[in-house]
Amino acid sequence: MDITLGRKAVLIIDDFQNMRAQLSQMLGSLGVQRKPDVAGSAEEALELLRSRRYDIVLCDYNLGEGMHGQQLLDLARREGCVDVATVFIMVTAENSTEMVMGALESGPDAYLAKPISKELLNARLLKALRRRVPMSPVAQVLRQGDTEQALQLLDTMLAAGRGERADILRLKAELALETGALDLVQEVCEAVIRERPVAWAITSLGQAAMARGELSRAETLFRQAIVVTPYFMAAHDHLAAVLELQGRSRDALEVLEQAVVRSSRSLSRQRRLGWLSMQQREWELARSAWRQVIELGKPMESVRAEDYFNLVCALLEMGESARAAKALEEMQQSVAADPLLRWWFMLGRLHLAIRDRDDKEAALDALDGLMLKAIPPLEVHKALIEVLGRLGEVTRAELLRQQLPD
Amino acid sequence: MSKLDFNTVLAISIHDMKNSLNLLLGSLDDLLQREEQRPSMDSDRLALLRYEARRVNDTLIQLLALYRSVKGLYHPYFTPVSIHDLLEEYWLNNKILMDHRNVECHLTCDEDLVWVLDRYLVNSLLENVVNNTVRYTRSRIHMSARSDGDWLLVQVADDGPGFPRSMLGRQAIREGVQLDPQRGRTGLGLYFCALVADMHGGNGDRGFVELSNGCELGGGCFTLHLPKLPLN
Repeated sequence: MDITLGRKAVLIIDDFQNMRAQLSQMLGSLGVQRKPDVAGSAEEALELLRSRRYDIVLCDYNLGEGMHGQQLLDLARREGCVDVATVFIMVTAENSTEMVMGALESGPDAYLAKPISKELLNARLLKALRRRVPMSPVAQVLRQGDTEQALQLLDTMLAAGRGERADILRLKAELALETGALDLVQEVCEAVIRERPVAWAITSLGQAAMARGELSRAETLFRQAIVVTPYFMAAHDHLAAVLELQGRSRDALEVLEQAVVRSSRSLSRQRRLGWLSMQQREWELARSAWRQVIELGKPMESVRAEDYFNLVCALLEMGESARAAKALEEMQQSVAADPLLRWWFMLGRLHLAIRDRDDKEAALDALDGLMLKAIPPLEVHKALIEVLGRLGEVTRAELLRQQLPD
Repeated sequence: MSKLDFNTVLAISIHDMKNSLNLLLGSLDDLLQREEQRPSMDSDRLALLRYEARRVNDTLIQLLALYRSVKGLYHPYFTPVSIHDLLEEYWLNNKILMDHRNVECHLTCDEDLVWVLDRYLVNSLLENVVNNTVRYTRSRIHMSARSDGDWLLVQVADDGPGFPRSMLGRQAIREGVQLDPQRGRTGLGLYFCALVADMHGGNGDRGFVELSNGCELGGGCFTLHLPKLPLN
């Protein structure tokens, strides 16, 4: 097992040329033989990450405009270009609030605060390599989509005492959950918990219970995981989901509300919170959630026109018509690529017309024009019927209702 | 000049001075390492320079933190932190100086130990304590941490001459510890440490520091006590 730095392929991501040069030189003096590749922005980094595999990625958290380091890591992990064998180290400013525990979300292998000393960089790299390098064969078969063989490899490693036991068991449970092998999830997690009750194992057990439809057992387990490790955020998300499945939306909302106080940076959590608070008519909460969704999603270009529409609705419910109109304008500029843009924009305009009657006729004309060219997509169909009803347009609403596919 | 926000002025100036100092410290580390390979008289002077630069750095951090805390401008940011990594980070960032002084440092801490604290404040405290310890110890330093019920104990022990008797005991802001101008910089450092500890507390317990002599290594021993905090 090669846990020396010599032949490793390294990528350095930093928006400052000086910093890139300093890190590159430091790595050279630590024995890295191949000159590291460098990227000055998240976009450049993604291009490189997609084009080849790196053993080590050193990434500055603050990359100027666009994505920050954690968003880049999330995306790269999702795409598989940072895998279970890749060492990812996040470099942060000295007094930064970004250094969150690895357990908090799917974090990097280590955080390094500037100014970085060679000794510390070396120690952190070697420690991470010792965990990651033994996973290389597993990463390789996972790249080919062969989960079965990955599970076999993990078992061989366990039997031979190779690699970090805790990491192997965790990956095993993850893969088993993915493939729906619930008995295996249970077997692995229960064995881990017998040694030590750790949050991820309790949470995975909960997920298995949820998949089996044992909702109250799942709830108990997620709550247990939160007691063990309050900042294990996945447990909060699953707890909210299981409460929703039990029809307890109010409780689910409370769980998510507390979860975003602990960690506000998850796009999917904020979206979920936005939906739940609209359902519960908690407009202030909804407004802040949709604002967060837009802010978090912007650099990753994952904001949808619908998110803006929801913000418009929350603002209107709070009586902030001027702000709602502004949000609608922003929708048109910010999510031009969304194929449903014109429909969500139309819906927003109609909602605004409920208060601002002057625009009602013009808005309805625009709607008729739109409907001449296309049938409203499923996502907006019901919402259109609803808003027409609220505008007193009974005939138009009825016509649309008849067009509704079963 | 119209209304000047001195907090901002201080923050900007200190940030800038710290940047320069970091560069200075980095260059000194480089020089020191090169000198180690071909020993000459100058390495001692380099080490002294480095020590002094470090002190200026620490004093600046203290100055800013104290000023902000007195003005009510510092809002601690509490997050779960791996204590092992925190101590190791501090040790490895100062290894060159320790090596030069032939000081051996050991670290004892469970790798899984996680505690909720303000990383920046505790880091500043460590810089203060360890830099001082490197100066006074003879040959060894032992950094350790463990949890004891609802408390975290972080200890820095050495085999030096120990603390003067007048400084021994528990130093807690809530128990009336005040800045003693007679003690000069040492007093300021100690007050700073007590303040950092005190900022870690909610409605109930608050942190404090304790100085003692004759611990495991026979010299001085600094202990930071931090209570368990709810995450938010």
